Amino acid sequence: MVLRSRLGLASHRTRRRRASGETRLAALLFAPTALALAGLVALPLALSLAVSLTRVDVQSLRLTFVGLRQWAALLRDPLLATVLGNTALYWAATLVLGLAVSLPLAWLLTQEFPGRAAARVVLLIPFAIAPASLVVVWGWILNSSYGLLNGLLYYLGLTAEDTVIAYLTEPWPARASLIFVNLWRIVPFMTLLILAGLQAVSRDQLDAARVDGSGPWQTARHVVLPAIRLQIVAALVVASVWSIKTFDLVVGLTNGGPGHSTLMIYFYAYRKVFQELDFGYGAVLSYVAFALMAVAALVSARAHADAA
Amino acid sequence: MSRGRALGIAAGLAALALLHLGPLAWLLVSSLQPERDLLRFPPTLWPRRVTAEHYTEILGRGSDFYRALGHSLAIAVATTALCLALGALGAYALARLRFPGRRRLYFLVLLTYMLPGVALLIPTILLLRALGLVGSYAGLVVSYLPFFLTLTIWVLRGFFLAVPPDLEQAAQVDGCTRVEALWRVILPLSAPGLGATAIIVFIMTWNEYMYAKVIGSTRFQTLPVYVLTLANQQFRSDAGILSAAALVTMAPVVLLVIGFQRLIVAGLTEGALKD
Repeated sequence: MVLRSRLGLASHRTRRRRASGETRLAALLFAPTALALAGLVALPLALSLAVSLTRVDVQSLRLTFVGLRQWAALLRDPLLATVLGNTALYWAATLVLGLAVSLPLAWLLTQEFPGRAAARVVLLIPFAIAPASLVVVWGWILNSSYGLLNGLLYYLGLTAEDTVIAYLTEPWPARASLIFVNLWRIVPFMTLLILAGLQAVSRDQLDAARVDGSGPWQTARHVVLPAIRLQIVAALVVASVWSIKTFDLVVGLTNGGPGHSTLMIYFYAYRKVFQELDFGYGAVLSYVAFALMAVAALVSARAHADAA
Repeated sequence: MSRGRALGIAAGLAALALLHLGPLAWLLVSSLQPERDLLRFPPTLWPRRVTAEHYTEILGRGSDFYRALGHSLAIAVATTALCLALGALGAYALARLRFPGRRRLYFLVLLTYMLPGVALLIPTILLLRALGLVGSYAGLVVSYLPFFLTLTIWVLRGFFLAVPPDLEQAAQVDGCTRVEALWRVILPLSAPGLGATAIIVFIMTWNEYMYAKVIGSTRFQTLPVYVLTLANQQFRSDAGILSAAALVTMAPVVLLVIGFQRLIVAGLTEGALKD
């Protein structure tokens, strides 16, 4: 008895020693990353908070403290509601449509058929293409005078030769075009994530469901969907991050126009700072973008915790 | 498989291929036609006259393209190397070591990755200006770390978790220290994961536009900045040249993706799906 308790004590002590050793090693290994993030994230964020409280004179780089005045400007900004509305629409449309397309597509790719490997390569291509090149492709396809899309509609006999559909210079078509191009690059990625989940659903589970007499829809709802919840959450998070961070697509395709119809938070913050040189208010706006992202992050963390 | 189901699969695949390869094919067709053939409606789906003039202009002697290519390569390689070197250590700590606050640290890494770049860009540019690093490679590479280093850690952690712990313990029983075990067991066994991570970070750096434009400033242009600058020249927006430039810019990474598709899929899904 005594012996056993002594042994227990000893092993407890070595375990503790090992644990503190691991903590020290972890600190050592993580130090370079921590240093980089402190200097490149924490310090800039603090600086940006300071900038949001000051007026920066661009010529002399002189700073004047203005307190919360620039934060209060959010409430008086006539464009902010438009910008947030555009962002929300674009974000929500990407999530809903993205999931609606990628779920069936992922299921399709679990089937055995010739050319399955090739189909996966096709899914990876949008990830490889720089948004800067993407806007060249789509700007040219959607070009109202010489573009392929209007050309195809004409060849299919759907429009007359002199019909000009302006995809990028009318408010609703421009919004729809941006959402479409965003989906074009995001859906394949969402599909890959969901596919990885579907492949982990075992044959046994599906067979068991069939033996129990559940039909294909019931199986999908009660067996498959719960099993791939984590993957669906991951796909939605990736889609959210990419949607809120959309910048190059707007710069290249609509420049926020026509009017303010495709002006979204990320591009708006950038424009305030780097075109209108309003550093202070730009910093405030970038915190708004950050807040949206944090909401997405927290929701996903919750869902992750629930699913795990 | 029933006939209807086979037809459905075929239709779905055809739509996927058409939607994703069609635009690229159209870009290729456009890049090979003389400008006057491009500016007509309806557009010709198959080139009447084929010309390489747009490519010779872009790839000709003294073209800005080569300079942009050089900048892009240098920055992507440097960023990838730095992220992998630092990220492997951090990812190992998160995947294998037990210490208080580990989950919180992991969450912090993820949150940093999600930070909107525009929020960091403003103060970063002020800091870089103070250090005299605006317009330098070092300035841009360092500014990428908050995003790509955290991405590296996220993805690599997934690969490290997949290495069976027994192997590492066996190495320790044989007298290896933990760091030696990382070096001799984990890293070699995660070689595919390291490769996948390297390719993903390389591609994302290669494609990045906003930071490259602002921090490169007037000193250097990477390929995406070069392409979008070309696209926004109001008076010479030449569709043929633009198409050729976009194609030449995407060619290396598209080939990379096709060559390493299995690895990349593993890398992209690994990090996201390991809780």
